[in-house]
Amino acid sequence: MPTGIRSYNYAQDMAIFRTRAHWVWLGVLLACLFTGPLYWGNYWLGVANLIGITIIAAMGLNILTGYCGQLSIGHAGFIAVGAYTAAVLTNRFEMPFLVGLICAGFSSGLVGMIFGIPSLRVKGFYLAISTIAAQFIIIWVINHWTPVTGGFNGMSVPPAQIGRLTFISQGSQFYLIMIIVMIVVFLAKNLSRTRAGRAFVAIRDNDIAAQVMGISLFRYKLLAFFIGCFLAGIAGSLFAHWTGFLNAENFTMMDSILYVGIIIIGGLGTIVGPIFGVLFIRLLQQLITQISPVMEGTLPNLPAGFTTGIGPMVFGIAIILFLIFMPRGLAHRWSLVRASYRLWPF
Amino acid sequence: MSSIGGITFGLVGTGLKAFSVVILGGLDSFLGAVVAGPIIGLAENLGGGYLTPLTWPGVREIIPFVIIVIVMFIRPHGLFGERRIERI
Repeated sequence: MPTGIRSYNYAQDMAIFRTRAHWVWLGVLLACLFTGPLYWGNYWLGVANLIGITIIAAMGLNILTGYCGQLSIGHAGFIAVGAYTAAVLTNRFEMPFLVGLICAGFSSGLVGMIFGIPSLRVKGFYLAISTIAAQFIIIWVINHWTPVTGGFNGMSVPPAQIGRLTFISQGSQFYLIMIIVMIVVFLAKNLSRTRAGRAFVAIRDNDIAAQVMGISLFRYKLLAFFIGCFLAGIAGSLFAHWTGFLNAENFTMMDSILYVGIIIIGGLGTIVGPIFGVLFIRLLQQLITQISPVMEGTLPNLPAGFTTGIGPMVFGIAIILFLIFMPRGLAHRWSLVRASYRLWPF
Repeated sequence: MSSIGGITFGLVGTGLKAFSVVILGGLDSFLGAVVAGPIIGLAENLGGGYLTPLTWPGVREIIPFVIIVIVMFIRPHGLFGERRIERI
């Protein structure tokens, strides 16, 4: 925001896009995004869809961990709950896609609230352990409840369908996913400015002090778990319809850790943070996928399995480097860029 | 562990189960770890034996994690852990 912009009423002060330049930039971004399917190939559209789904999930984890300070290492488990709810509803009961989407959010949110109850008595490391337990219990139930979830064999999911529209191709799914991403980002941005959002930040900074100030810990911690896991369920439902085939292999503990890494890289407690983090991690993964055949071709002396194992290694190195050199994440870097733009001509 | 069972990737699971031992015993208590270790081991194997006909096979893998959740609900500081009173 450049200098010299004044607000004359409260609505102007609270507006997300305040100047004409902001609206122009937004328009350019949206135009680039929504004409994307015209010139991106099918492969890169698939990558973009995965990025969109991951943004929704990371946004949920960011509300839970970044805003409310409740560390969760079971996020992939909650995504799995949403994915399987949507899959069971649309495949076995032949419900419409939107019903499955909403039910996936609610079932995932309720499961998240159950596993969030310990957060009322414990925090930090203890809570991390109990969410790891949640991850293992959920995946175990999915793997063994064969009549409903298909067990180790997995289950197929029909493509998403709204009315007469069927989202089969990557391009059509791209529009569906991006619209939901925009709704989620908008809601998350506004949530962070409401009473609940400020209560979350107070609980993150010091939960006893927040309680003294009159914030009901029970209510707001469980609300944070519900919202965070609700978004995880939405992401899971989209993921189920996007891949078309579900297997518990898609929701391992490594993925849970990946989500925590994403929001650390992006910047905890910011709205743009998860978006940057997801873009960074997913594009890094793509870079590794693209580069590893080249490496195998040019360097035949590499040990066997080096190129497949390089992904987790690079991911770990990225997190360590970010924690050392940029502990506030890419979002902080972005705010520095914006601050220099504010004083731009000088 | 590796001298008994060999070095496999499954040792990761053993490391995770160790969390349930220290959580049940109390994170800052040596006695707790000594007492809780056999409890978890026995619960895992006896539970695996008696619960498998009632539920699904492979139930012994998650018994330590269920115990973590139960301990978190009832006694977050564990059997012998120090109960912390927090101040601002």
